Amino acid sequence: MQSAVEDADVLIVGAGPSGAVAAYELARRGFKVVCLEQGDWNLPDDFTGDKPSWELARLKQWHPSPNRRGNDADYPINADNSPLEPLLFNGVGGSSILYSGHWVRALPSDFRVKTLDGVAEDWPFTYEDLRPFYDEVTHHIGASGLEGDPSYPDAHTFPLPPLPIGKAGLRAARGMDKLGWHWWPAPNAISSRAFRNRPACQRYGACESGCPAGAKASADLTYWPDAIAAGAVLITGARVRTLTTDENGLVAGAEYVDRDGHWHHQRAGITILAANGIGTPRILLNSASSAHPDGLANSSGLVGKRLMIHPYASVYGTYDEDLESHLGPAGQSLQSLEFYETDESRGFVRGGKWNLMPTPGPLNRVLWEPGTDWRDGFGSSFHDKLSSTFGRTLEWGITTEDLPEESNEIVLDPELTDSDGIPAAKINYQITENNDRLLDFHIARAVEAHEAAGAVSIHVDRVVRDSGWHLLGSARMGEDPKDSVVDQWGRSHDIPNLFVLDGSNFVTSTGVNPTATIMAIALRAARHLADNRHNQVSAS
Amino acid sequence: MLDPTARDRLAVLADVLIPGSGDFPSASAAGVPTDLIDRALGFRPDLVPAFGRALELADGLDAEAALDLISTGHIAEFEALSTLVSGAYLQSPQVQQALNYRPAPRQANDDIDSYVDLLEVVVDRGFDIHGADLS
Ligand SMILES: Cc1cc2nc3c(=O)[nH]c(=O)nc-3n(C[C@H](O)[C@H](O)[C@H](O)COP(=O)(O)OP(=O)(O)OC[C@H]3O[C@@H](n4cnc5c(N)ncnc54)[C@H](O)[C@@H]3O)c2cc1C
Repeated sequence: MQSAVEDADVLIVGAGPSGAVAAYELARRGFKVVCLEQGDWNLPDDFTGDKPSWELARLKQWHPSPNRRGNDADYPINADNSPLEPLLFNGVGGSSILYSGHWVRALPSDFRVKTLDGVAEDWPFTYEDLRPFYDEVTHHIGASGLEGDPSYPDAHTFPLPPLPIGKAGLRAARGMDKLGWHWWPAPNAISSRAFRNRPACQRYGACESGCPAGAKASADLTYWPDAIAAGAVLITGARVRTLTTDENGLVAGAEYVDRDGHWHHQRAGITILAANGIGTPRILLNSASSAHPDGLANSSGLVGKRLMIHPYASVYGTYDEDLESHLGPAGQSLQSLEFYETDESRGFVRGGKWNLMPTPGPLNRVLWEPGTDWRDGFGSSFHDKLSSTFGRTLEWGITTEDLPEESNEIVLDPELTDSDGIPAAKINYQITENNDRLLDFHIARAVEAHEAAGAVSIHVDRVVRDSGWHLLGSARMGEDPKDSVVDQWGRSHDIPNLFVLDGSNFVTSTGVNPTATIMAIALRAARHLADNRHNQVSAS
Repeated sequence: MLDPTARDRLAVLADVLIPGSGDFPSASAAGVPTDLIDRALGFRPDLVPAFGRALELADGLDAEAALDLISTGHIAEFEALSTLVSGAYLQSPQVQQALNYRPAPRQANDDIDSYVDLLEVVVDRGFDIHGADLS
């Protein structure tokens, strides 16, 4: 079969943030890059956040769960055996099309949890190693934030000033001030002023269903235009089933199907998987053959294992004044790392990051919860519920660090397939005991934070089911091929021309939103590959 | 398109779900059973079948009894009915005004001045950073 791009040096699977940053770095360094992406481009006008359909459409057409959305580009994921629903988007820009844009660096301790806390493993590099790449990506994508957060060892800068925290942020900040707890105007991958091809945020609060203003730093707007200008070829509607191998045991390329149902093979010297923590192990497991009965690059047995998803708690406080909490960005207005680091007296290790978020849209305030009496929210209660909560409700959301467990995993579902007949992924995932204790502690503190800010009522959603937006660790990096899938540069220990550059390669999950880290790691690895291209093995 | 019988039945159910109160019109006074439900169904064609079944289940029942029956035994149908009725209701300009809801766009104005004093306290307090190479 003829390749769409002949003589490709590098094939990238997946056009999300990790694929985009790698494509740009490699294309600008002279590699002939081709990317296969199963989804399509979206334009800001495709999103409904500025249209009357928004609140209804975000529950279906723009829902973050591929299972609920069911678009042509989506693949189903069996999550029956998981308390968390996996959330992602399939298209140019990947899940950053729907991400909230919380742009958070991990902390130094995240890379040294074994040394500091005696759990899991240390990463093969440190915060200090990653720092220049965080800086570079932050400035390339145009993040907004305020320099000088004391919870980091360096006063890292942002190209844009912070977004407004608004009345809601100020109210919550006063509460944190009373308690003497850390807070900071939050860093966001959303432009507070016009930046390159993006206008300033218009505060729709619709970030999680696609930014209608085009202000959010999704990878289709940040890195892809640069990558394409540098010569990268992006093929959309191209769904990869398997990676193929040659007689030397190297990856020769990928077999994929287009939207007309035609099968193709794209050859390349080097293959990079950037299909995220579910898509990447799915491809590796689907690439099993007689030579690789357990899947490709899986001599460690860890492909698909150690999945981490960051169980997320929402603690909502409702206040007695209109705080305009329907306005964006959503996005975060404040973040707190007060309880991020380990304090063993709390009965668990590690911690979590808090984000203060608005609660955009009135419909969300009145949706019926199955199992409840309809009279609780409708009938004579309807207007009270709506008026007392709309514009007055703030969320302290808590991203909690879950530590890696081999039993938390991605496997191939024995029956379920996508619309092209390719076996789908199944998640087996349970919240660990450490995480249960961590959740209880953090929720109790977030309740106190709302009380200190004067909330008149507080509602806790202990583990939000629709919060599986961070999909990490399912092809971990490490130094030892026996207990890791890839090395610190994302290169497979088993197959030297195969790389994994999405969040599958995380050693531990950190307790922060991962995209800044995923992109910094991808940039570091792609630069290393380009710098060392003469030593790099390629398929011919 | 809903037939007149379905619209009548919807009006009765919708007014029990969302009665009028103060400045807020009832669902039917806001136009839910007429234009607004058509618009909402247009936004969510996937809900049309479950919504239709909910209306059929209400046939011959008093509105409260119908809502009890649907919400306890027919979750997908009640979700469709309640989501579409409230989604349609909240489209009404009269309702948005009563709620003081002025949707974006808004300018993202810098408001650092409003909190810079509070932030100084955070900086002065410092932070116990674990595991950093501070050399
Ligand atoms: C609702 C939501 C909110 C989020 N909020 C935040 C946040 O505030 N901050 C943060 O840091 N992170 C957030 N995230 C997570 C963030 O979006 C991801 O970390 C990030 O997008 C990961 O980048 P990636 O390139 O590794 O994978 P993705 O962005 O998921 O991209 C993977 C791409 O690979 C493609 N692909 C997969 N399999 C195949 C195949 N077989 N063939 C061809 N193409 C394939 C997919 O279609 C997809 O486009 C959020 C995610 C969601 C869904």
